[in-house]
Amino acid sequence: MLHLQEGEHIDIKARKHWFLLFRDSAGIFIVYFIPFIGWNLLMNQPDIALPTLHESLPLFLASVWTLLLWAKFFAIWTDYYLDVWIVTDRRIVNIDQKGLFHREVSTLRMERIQDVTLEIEGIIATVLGFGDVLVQTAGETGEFVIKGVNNPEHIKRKILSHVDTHAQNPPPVL
Amino acid sequence: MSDDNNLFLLPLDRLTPDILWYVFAGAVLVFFIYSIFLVYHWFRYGMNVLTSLLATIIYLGVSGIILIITIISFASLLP
Repeated sequence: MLHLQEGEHIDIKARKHWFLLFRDSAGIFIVYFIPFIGWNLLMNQPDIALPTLHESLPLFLASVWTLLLWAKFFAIWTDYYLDVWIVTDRRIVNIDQKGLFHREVSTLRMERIQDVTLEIEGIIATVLGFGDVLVQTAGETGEFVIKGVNNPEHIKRKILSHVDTHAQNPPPVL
Repeated sequence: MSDDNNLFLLPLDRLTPDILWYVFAGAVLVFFIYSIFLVYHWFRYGMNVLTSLLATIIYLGVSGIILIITIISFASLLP
């Protein structure tokens, strides 16, 4: 959960485009069907003698396989669901879930932003309208990347408008 | 038909009830532990309670159906 400062409001909550979830989980679906395809191919080979199996054994193995890959699919979805970029009027927060036991939360204050670049790469990204927003910062941090988000142009515009506001009204130095 | 063709299939017809128990118990244990971690993350770190709730219902609902099929097929395998 994000704790907002007094008077701070959230402008954008962005997560990766659904196509990236589809792409990341495609491997699971391919792996899932391999044993079934393999088994069917074996059944159709006349010169291979199949052992006599209990009729429930294939169903048992298939259901165990399905159960485990179903859980794995939701682990991928969890990674997608918990990866969020939050743009407030004061900062950008990058919440990066890198697996079940690795979570990174980094914050970039608007006054540290120097430039914002947009990158849409490839046919699919162009057609579906997702891409990266690269935020250049002052100091050693270098670059802050908002990856694969829907409508990156809108996010870029919002960030730049907050940067301009901060440049015109810099926060008071205490 | 040569015997060599059967070799790689031998483990399937030699699965004893003991081995099946290990497969069943191992899979169910891994699934339960994994599920606890998943659901914990959805509610602990998720930004939207409704999405987390919907995900939990879909995940556990479908898992329940698969588990029932697993248990029924496993029970019918036992002598």
